[in-house]
Amino acid sequence: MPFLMKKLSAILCLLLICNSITTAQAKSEEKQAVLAVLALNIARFTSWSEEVFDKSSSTFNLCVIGDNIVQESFLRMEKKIINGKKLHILNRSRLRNLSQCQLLYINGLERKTLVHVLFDLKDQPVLTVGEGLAFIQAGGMVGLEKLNGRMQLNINLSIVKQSKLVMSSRILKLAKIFESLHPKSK
Amino acid sequence: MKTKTKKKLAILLPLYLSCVLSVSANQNDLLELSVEDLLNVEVISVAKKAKSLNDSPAAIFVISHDDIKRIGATSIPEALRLAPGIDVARIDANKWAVSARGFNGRFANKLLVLIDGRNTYTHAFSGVYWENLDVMLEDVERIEIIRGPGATLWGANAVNGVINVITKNSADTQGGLLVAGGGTEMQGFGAFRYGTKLNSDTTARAYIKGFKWGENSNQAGDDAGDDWEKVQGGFRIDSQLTIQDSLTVQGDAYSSDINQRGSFPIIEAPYQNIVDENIDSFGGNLLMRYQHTFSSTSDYSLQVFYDFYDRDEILFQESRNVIDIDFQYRIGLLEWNDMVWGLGYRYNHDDFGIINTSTLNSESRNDQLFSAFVQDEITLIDDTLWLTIGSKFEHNDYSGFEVQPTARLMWAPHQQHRFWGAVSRSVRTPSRLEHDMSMLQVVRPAQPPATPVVAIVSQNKNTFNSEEVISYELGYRTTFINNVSIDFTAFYNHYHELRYYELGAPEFKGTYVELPANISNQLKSHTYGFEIATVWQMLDWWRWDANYSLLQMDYNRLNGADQLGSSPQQRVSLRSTLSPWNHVDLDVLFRYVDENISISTFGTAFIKDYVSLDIRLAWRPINDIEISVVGQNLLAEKHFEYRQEIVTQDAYIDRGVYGKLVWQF
Repeated sequence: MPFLMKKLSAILCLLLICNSITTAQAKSEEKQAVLAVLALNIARFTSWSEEVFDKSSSTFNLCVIGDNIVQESFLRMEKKIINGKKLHILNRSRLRNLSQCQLLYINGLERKTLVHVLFDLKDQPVLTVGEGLAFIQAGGMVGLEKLNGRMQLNINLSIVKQSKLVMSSRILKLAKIFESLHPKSK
Repeated sequence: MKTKTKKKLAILLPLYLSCVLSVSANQNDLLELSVEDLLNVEVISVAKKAKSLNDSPAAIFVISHDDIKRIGATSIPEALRLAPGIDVARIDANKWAVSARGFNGRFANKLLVLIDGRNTYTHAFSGVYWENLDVMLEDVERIEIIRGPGATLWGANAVNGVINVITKNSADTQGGLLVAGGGTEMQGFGAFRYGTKLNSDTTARAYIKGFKWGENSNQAGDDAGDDWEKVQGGFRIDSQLTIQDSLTVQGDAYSSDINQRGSFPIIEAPYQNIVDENIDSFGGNLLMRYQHTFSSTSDYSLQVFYDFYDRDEILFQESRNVIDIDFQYRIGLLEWNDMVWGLGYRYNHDDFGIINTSTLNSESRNDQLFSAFVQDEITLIDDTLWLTIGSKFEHNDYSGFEVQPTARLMWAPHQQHRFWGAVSRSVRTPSRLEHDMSMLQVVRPAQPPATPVVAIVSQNKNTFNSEEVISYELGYRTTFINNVSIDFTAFYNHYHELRYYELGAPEFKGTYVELPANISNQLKSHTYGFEIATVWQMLDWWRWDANYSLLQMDYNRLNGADQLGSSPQQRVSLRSTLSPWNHVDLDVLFRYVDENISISTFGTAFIKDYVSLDIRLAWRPINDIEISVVGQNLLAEKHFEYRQEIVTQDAYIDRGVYGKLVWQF
């Protein structure tokens, strides 16, 4: 029994050390947390035309399609202020009422469904943010991609312009710009 | 000394726990950063599996492509050992008994298996020939396993579970892949796949694979005569015709040489013949699926497949042709309804040739199945409470009209908690052989002076009806501890009208007495238990999976267990998935399987509980090449997992090691 206890405490020591190594690793952050904050920051540097925001409305609708991990990463930012409006996080995993969103973050949809969701929002002033180049190719506006351990912005400017959104040059300067329309129109 | 270590533990344990609990990134700090700084932050992607909660109101478990690869599985049943509550027993090199929540056997009939939407169950015995099922494992996207009834969506025979093997879209398997290897049991194997773009909207892949599996041992340690070889090839084409229309065409063909040592009863001494037989088995399938999408919440799909197989065994020769047509329509009604309905038709044509100790009502038969289903998911409280109700209605040529309804409730009170409950009714429809075949099962030698030779003959009849079950399930999933997920399901199943063979009046046949065993639906049973699946992402590069399942089976008659046996009561698996460096993986799977009772015509086998250990070490010297060594069943030279119901003699599964090379180009 003492032998077992000794072993157990040795294993715990090892685990403790292992864990402190990972936490000490050059201040690395969990990807989903970074993605959520990045999405919010992109919205900060995007402007919507006046008619989109009901003047009396004091909220900014940030809609999220994704599992509990994705939802949670955004819910932590609920009620923050963005462009003078209070952030309202909405779970839209059931793909309903998407045109009521100002920003739509999409995660985990099958490509076929993704293409449709994005096509249905064509011309609508909804800033669509997702992951990877595939998101841009499916007709999304901003595709966040992990490259060499850091996040990179990919922006499809044609789709952004089509939806009459304006992105500040500060964001565009940081991004890789693409110009392509929705895949295969109806 | 003892108190010292205890003290050490007392200090370390809370420290360690606090360490685990504080790994999560502090998002408030991130909010202070500018966009430029955010793009400079080093990002780690902690594997999602440890924290993602499934939103299905069913006991669902997913085995990913990565899981299959990292455990070194060489077949679908081997991969299924990763799932909680699934009873996978290897009978010999080429046969498996796979079931969920009890009633296991080579001819188990309560589990439905689909490959890319193609129903692989055979109408011959309402089960699955596992040796016929194969795919290019490297092209599997995931295997979804649903324990418990799935009849409403998938139809009869999804009584205790559904296994859904889903292969990748051909767009995701572009380029070449070469696999080669060999070892002590899996003596040699190779596979080649090539994927390409046919035009701007169409991708395709084709593959060919083959292997030779060596013989296991029998109890005495001699060869068990169960080696086998198989060659299989196939293709898949995916085309996005327009943004709204997509088409998939796929097919496979295989041929295998299966060896087994079989025992066949005869009326004269020595009352059974033991024969080494070679079974020639081949088959193939062709599937087409067209999908039209109206919007992201509404679409329809039409699937047609043709499947055939041919087996030539001593017991019987069988060839079977199946044509299946399925139509599904999904529509989002109002803001709170997701409805799906469908229609199906299946046509079965078979041809049998049988051994002279059996009789079959008709050697060839055409059977038809008509089905319809509707299911609606209703949002009762936004983002929090959903009710799913639905039913399958079908008509088959043996038991007529069947209704299989379900009601399921899903409650998500918090992002980290999910509760669900379900009540369902499912049926297992009679198989062709239960309906039409009588067979000499066993011959007991005379016991002078009074008892003559007795031949027991199973008498299957068209009076046999569907088996029924009412299932009650409760589930809870949570991720309330950081980097840990727990999935718990409890179930209670009440079965009635189960198959039961009742001995009839003996008939004197000159030199022996024939004792008929008449098929009936007299058996009742209830089973209950629970299953737990946990995942702990201890470090970014080290994950633990632990599963436990408990199953209790009770019958209404004392001798119920004498006919159906008893599945292992407890199953435990513990798996460590470790990647200490980017190019090195080390995986360990430890399993404990409780004792079980297998019923066979040559006696009941009380199978001892066993532990097993599989280890895989993989190294990628460059990005596109992986070299791995896999050890299977390492803890014992050989062990016994299951005795087949008829014919096949016992095989003890040998310890095995193989090496594998994968080259992607």
